[in-house]
Amino acid sequence: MGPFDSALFVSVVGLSAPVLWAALGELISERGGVINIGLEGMVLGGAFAAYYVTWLTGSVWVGALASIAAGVAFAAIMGVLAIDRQADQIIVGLGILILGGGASALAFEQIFTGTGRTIVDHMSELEIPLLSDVPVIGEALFKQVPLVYLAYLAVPFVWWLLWRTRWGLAVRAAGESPEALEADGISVRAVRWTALLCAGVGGGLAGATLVVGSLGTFTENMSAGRGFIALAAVVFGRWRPVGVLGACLVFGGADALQLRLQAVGSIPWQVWTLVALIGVAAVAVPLVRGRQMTPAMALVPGVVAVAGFVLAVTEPTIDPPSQIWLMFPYVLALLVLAGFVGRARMPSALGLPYRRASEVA
Amino acid sequence: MTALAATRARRRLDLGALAPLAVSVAVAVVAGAVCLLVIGLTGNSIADTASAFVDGAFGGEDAVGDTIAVMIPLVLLGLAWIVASSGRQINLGLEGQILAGGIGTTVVGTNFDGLASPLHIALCVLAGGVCGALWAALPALLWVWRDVSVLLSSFMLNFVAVLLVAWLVRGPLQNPGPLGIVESRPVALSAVWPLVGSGSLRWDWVLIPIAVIALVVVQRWTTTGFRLRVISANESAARHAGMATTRIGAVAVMTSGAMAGIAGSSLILGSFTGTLKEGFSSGYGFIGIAVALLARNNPIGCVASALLFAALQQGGALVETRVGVSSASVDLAEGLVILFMAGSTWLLVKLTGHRRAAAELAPEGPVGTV
Repeated sequence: MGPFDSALFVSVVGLSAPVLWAALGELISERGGVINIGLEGMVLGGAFAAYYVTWLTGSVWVGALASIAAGVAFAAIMGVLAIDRQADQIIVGLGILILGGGASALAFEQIFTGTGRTIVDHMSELEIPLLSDVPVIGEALFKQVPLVYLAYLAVPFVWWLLWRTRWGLAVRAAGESPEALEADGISVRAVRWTALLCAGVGGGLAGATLVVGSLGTFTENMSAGRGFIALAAVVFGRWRPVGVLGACLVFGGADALQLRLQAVGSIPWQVWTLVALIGVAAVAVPLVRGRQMTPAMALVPGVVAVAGFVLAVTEPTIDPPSQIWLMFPYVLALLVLAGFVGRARMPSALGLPYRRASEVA
Repeated sequence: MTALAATRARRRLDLGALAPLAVSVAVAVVAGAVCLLVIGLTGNSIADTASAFVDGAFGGEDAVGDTIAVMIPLVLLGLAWIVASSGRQINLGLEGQILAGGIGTTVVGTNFDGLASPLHIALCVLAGGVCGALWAALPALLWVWRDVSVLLSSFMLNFVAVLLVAWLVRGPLQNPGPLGIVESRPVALSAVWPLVGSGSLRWDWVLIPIAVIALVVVQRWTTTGFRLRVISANESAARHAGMATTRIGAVAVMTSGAMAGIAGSSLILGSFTGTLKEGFSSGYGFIGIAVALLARNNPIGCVASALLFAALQQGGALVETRVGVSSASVDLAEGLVILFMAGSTWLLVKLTGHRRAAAELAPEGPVGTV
């Protein structure tokens, strides 16, 4: 199996969870027409809140609740400005991004500098008997901390909310055609507010998952761009819960793989085989689905596939420095956005402030 | 006086024209007050904080020189944000473009020893600009070719650039000296901006008027400026009028990257050590955005708001050493300024019916929001 053993799968599932929380919250918000680029700030705010409250109370669950409160508080600031005052969502999000990073770093340094206490409790793994003994994937799926299980259970829940409830229909209408929603007598403002608060909950819990779900510590900017990876995951997942789940697993998988490969001396043949298979799939899947494909479109994945197989056979010694490995998740996110994005699928009123006809001067 | 001139004169004296300035000043004052309040609430003396702040920013010739040194990249970055947003693009990658510019500058600065100083400096600044533009070209091209949002891709590239610098200063560009320090060789003396007087002010201050005047001239008196105005007022109208909005947007992002790269060159050539090291631009890219927003995207206003943020940076550093308040409070101030400015647009429209501000509230988001 080389690097693809059960320990890798455990870390894929674990590393994807914080991104998944943030992305699911953002999914609801974007479906409602509010883009929240301050997600990263909410994650950091949530992470610090979880850390501080767990430190105060000793309870990881109270800490997780505090992270929700922090995320919701940031979302409320955004709601007042971007929904009620119709300010530019991008600019407000930018403010939240910087405020969340600054406030969490400031609070951490003010409260914890010189105290020497930096580790708080973190959740222990909840092992599901028998199932966790299944080879290869058993531990990945059935031996994780509760916040990780909840993140994956939230995927069907979000799907149910958005596609099987009246509120979900209203949210999607607020993102596609707010005028129609308002004409139906439902307040766009109220619907967008609730959708945005969901993004706060998701962002906060993403922070909690980072702190009480795994490390038990807080460091400045510990989210390291996960908020933005989550934004990319929503795009890559085409604004659908299952798609978002897949995207998060890809990004989490990239992160887990690069961490693993940093430790291994050279890139093993299994990784090259995976690269080759991805190239093959990129050609084969559209063909099987009967999509039109010109030779030019097949060129890039074809080259990737051939190169992958050649490298798998020759297995050259390639040992990049750790910094190059650390770039991998970000570069992958860029490649994925470049390869799969379709702007046509985004909610059509995304990013546009809504004003009632009576308010338009 | 003709009737037209009289109307113009009246419009200039109109209080409405001063309203944006008044709002920006009010935002700065309120954000500062909130920060002092937070610092006071955490149990530090507000008086000590304020006096340390003023000393750090303006106490003596050296402090003023240092504040201006910080102001130079901030003006350039504010202008960079303005350039990108006038093409309806959100360039969150300024930070990465600064780093790319710094790398280019260091490579040129540490080589070509024998060159005449002005030529060497010019080459270094050029290298910074080119590298910044190339780094920005990645998101610009991804947007043109594959519809990838510049906002997301440019931000991702910040992380890549940070890691690239981290690798370079431990690898190819590391100072080969025996100390094994994690930074590059210092740039040649011929590449360093000369000092203006006995203080710490360097001649790279000339970049401020050059950049501001260049942008104002382009905005007001060239076809490019006209196109950008049309695009930012109504993108679809511009497209129907036959303007290549996509290409213009991409060029705007690259120009923005070039200016950020030049800011990066200033951070290297004007620095005390003249070396490339990790974190040589700690968040300047984001402060630059706050600079532009506080100036309500006015290039001349950027000078004043950059001075304010430079003072915040320098004053905040002394506050940290003297009073022990973390300089993360500066980030807090930035975030507050951005949020207050976003909120104040609505106020401005309500109070004065300010037309340009109303356009900001117009229901047309930036191109390629996600």
